[in-house]
Amino acid sequence: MQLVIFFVLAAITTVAGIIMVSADNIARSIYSHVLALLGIAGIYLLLYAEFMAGVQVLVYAGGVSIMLLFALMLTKPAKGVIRALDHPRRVPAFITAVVLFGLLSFSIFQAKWPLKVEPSRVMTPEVIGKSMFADYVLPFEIVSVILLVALIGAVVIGVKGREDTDDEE
Amino acid sequence: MLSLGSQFLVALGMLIGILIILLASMWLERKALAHFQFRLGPMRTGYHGLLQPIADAMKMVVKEMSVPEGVDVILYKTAPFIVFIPAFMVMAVIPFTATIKAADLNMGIFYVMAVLSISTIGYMMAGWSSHNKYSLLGCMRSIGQFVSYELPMGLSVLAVVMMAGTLNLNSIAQAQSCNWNIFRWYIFKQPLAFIIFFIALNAEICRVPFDLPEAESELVAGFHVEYSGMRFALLLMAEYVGLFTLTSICTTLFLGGWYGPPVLPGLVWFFLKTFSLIFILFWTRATLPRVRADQLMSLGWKVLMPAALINVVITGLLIMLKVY
Repeated sequence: MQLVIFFVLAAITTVAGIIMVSADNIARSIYSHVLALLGIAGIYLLLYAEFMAGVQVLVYAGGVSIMLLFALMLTKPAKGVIRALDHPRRVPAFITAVVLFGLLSFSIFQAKWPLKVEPSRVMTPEVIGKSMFADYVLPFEIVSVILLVALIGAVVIGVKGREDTDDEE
Repeated sequence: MLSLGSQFLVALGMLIGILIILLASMWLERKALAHFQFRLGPMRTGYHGLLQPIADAMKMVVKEMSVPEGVDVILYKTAPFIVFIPAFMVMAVIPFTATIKAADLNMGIFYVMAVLSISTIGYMMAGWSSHNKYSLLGCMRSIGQFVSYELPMGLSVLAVVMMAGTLNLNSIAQAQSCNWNIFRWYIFKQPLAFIIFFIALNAEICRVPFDLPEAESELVAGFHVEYSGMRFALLLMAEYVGLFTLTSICTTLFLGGWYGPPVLPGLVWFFLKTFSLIFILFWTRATLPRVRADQLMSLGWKVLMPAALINVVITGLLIMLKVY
């Protein structure tokens, strides 16, 4: 039963991923991105990682993709006009893709994958919280500082753009 | 673990139950609004118009589902489901009483927040694929609104979670168990969180002071302008399901769920509290005018957000000092 569910979820994720990179409509590609993320959340659930699945849905499917869509609507005319997602720099893109594929598949084949999850190792929010704020407090703080820097950077860029348009006017 | 058959029966029962609640709250809203405005509201179908929602539903079912020209057909047709299914999925974790509940998830409230964030994508889908400037404006407004009110909502929930020490909705309700001493309800220990949650809830379900995404006078009907027939009915139902689920979450978090003075059974208490909250929402709808977009944003980011953060800090201090 679990295997069947896994294959269904994996198929959904993979197909959605393929649609995401091959669709010539950005909005559709973002929606299939959401579907792929939800499929991954389903796989987390299958591995008893409830909290991870929740975070995946809340942050990626519900947060990041909405930001992507929002940005899309701010930048593009709303007509649903489709501009082919193509770029003249195909060769560097191809090389990057091959290298990334190689690196990822190398690390995937190198790693040892536990095929069974013992219920004792299930990550509850308590366990995650304790290890995050006790064992990994320094990385956690560094990540939050990086996020803060990104936030301030975005504000600075936004304000700068606004000043420029004011000058032109 | 229940067998598959009985699980199916439970699900079916909940589906029928929620449909009845839906129709009841639609009727209640029309009647309440009418009486607030010195009208009678629907009177002709059944006793005081009790059968009006059923008549409306029948009308919706038999209506044609038109697909306007130039829409993105796949997205246009899937969007109502993406809006409706998450709103309905939240029902799964609501503990009506200690025994009547579909699922007892350990990450209950977290699940609610996560699932609710998916329906935002549905709104976006509906608005974008409709190929209509009113829909697009409506859905952009709704996204802005959802994103800015999800944060204070989450932070106000966090204060409750800190006090209860669990994400499980069932345990949160049990932490407020009481007989006559209703001061164990979190509304009395976390009044600020309750107010923030209630305002954010009002904004999340786009009801009147915060109904900018579907402001009739500016945007016709917002993101669902182009929808008709059963698809429109799904969007409308999602709205009422959201109304009920969020108020029942509010009941569970702040009003002690099914606990109350032992004069009434738990289920009655639960529905009494939830429908009182729903009634307050109707009341605000009848009383307050719509806020402007800038007022909405400044209320969300400059008032509710800092207030919720301060509330979390104070709650943390009080827990550390062992006051709570």
